[in-house]
Amino acid sequence: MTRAPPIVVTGIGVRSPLGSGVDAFWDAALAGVVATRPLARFDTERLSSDRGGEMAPSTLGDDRVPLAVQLAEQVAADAVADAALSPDAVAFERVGVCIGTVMGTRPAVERWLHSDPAAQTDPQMAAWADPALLSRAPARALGLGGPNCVVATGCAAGNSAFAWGAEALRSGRADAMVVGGADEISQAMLMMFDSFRLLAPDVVRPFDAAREGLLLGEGAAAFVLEREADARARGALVHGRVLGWANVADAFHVTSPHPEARGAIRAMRRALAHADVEASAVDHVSAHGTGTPANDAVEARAIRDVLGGATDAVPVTALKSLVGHAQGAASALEAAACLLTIRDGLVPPVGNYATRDPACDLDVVAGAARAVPVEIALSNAFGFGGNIECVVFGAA
Amino acid sequence: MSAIAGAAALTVAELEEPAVGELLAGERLRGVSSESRLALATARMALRDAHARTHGAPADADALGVVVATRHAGLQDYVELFQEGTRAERPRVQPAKGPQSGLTSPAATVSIRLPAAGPNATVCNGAVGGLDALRYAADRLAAGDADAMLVCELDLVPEIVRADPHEGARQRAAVVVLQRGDDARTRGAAPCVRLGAVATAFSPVGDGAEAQGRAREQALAEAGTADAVRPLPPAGGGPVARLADAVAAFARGELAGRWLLVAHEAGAAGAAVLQSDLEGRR
Repeated sequence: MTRAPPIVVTGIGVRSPLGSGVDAFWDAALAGVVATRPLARFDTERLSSDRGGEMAPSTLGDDRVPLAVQLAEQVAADAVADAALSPDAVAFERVGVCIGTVMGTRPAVERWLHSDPAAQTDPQMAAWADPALLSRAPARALGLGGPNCVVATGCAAGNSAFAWGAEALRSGRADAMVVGGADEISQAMLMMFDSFRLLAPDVVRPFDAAREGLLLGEGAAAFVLEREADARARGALVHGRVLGWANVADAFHVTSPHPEARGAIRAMRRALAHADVEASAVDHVSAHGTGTPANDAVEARAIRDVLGGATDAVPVTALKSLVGHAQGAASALEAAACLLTIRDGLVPPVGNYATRDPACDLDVVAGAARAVPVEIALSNAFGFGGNIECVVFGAA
Repeated sequence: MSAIAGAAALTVAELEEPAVGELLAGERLRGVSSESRLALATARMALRDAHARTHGAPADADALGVVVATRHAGLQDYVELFQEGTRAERPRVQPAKGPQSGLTSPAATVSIRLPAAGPNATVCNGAVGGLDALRYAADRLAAGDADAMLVCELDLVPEIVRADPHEGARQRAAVVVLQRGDDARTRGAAPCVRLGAVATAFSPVGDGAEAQGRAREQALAEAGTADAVRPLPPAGGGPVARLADAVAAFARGELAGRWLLVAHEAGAAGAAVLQSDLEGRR
């Protein structure tokens, strides 16, 4: 049996409320900076919370272009530059793009509707309404001609993009893939989560006994994936490996996770099996960790079920405590954190964590970043509708 | 190589017909969007077709996956949610509407209602998305992640973007059921079409002709057949809808041999090689 070629990450690009650029993002994450704050771009008067993880105004460009598209273009360019990917090294017609998203370009449609009801018949609005822009715009900007698509697996979409990209490489359909996730906050999503009574009034407290809900966030992260042999041959710096992945449906409820974590357990086990990694070898878990009472308890149960007795020695973090829930960008940002954790041996803290919850019996990294060698990191991502995608990252 | 075990296509209007409505009988569908209902009804119809062809249910729930190709799923609900929520006299939104406003709502609805707990994804690539979905499904089968995959294409244009210039929108859903070819053969089944290969590409500049050529060449090379492939006659709808139509034509004996299914839009392009399964039909 032919062994599947190992897939590595050779480039990273990040735009987030914690900071733009890998270093700014990572420094703030390690410092436990909480970037959720009162929202400036939205009417929060009738909402139960006025907070979220918003991009800094200075990072916003031409408002005629959907913010998520701008962010996708920026992180893709950063990742390609970080990878030192050039047409001399890799034929750009063999470089594809796959971007994960929840909302796509819908917030732009919202802005048009808000400002001008007549925009409903404007052909340009129809063009902005096409989520495929998220992958096509970066490809046009960078001249990339490989497989190109947007994957929408709810809040698991960033992780799904890794899987789609890695499979394009393993099957030989591409020689490099730019993958990631991008999303922006929208008024409709704020209203939707408010209607579910899921918005936290102040901050996000994943796995804390006092957790009250989530806050929305936004941002983007992108990565260059290559087959390891190709990357080594061109002398690329390897940030880490994408060892395995798994996608399943919870097939239970459109907004609630299966109470026994059935889908989450299957996805984590399958991802580890796909990576050919024993559960006991996992050094770190990047949790989906939304901060909602139901999600965190179910996820904690799933982690303990999968890791078994090793759970107590596995540090768990939840980036959403710092940036809010960045939707399709969430697991992409968390992937960046996983790769940087592996690089530096530092796990960023869960922000706002104060009180242990017996229902979330995990080794939550609290207070400050923890120094610990990490060779294998498991990243969880769960979405509304039951989409679950877990990815296993490994050291270079 | 994957085999098409069953296929179906339905329009929104057909949901009102008693025979189609029966596919959703007993379901509590209050708050479920018409496109999610359409996807669910079409999926059930395709599974019935697969059952008839393959002498049995194609997979248990954990091994049954769903992938949906869509451009606008949930957009109409999103707009209504936004307008409802920002209307001064009625500022609160209905909680039931939220989950229906997402791109993933049809795939989620199908997975929850059938149930189908295998791989579940939604892909957006305009007119080429159906080919991406077919490729994803074939990959899941080849990897052993699923024993059957429902590949759904939603070709609906909501009111809000009726100015959409893209052609082929017929307010229709199409679903094909993909299985590993060997599985179908083992059961003595009679899938009449095999999916030889699927390839996609993108032209960052120009009209996309260059990407069409690359996708076509790649699909033919992967299928191991450089010639004797004719383009599938053009027809309305996306690739999965055209594939569903072709399955019926193959079954009626109106098509035979190898055919190329192509799609392109705004620089994106894709091609799939279809092949009749004459051996399986004997």
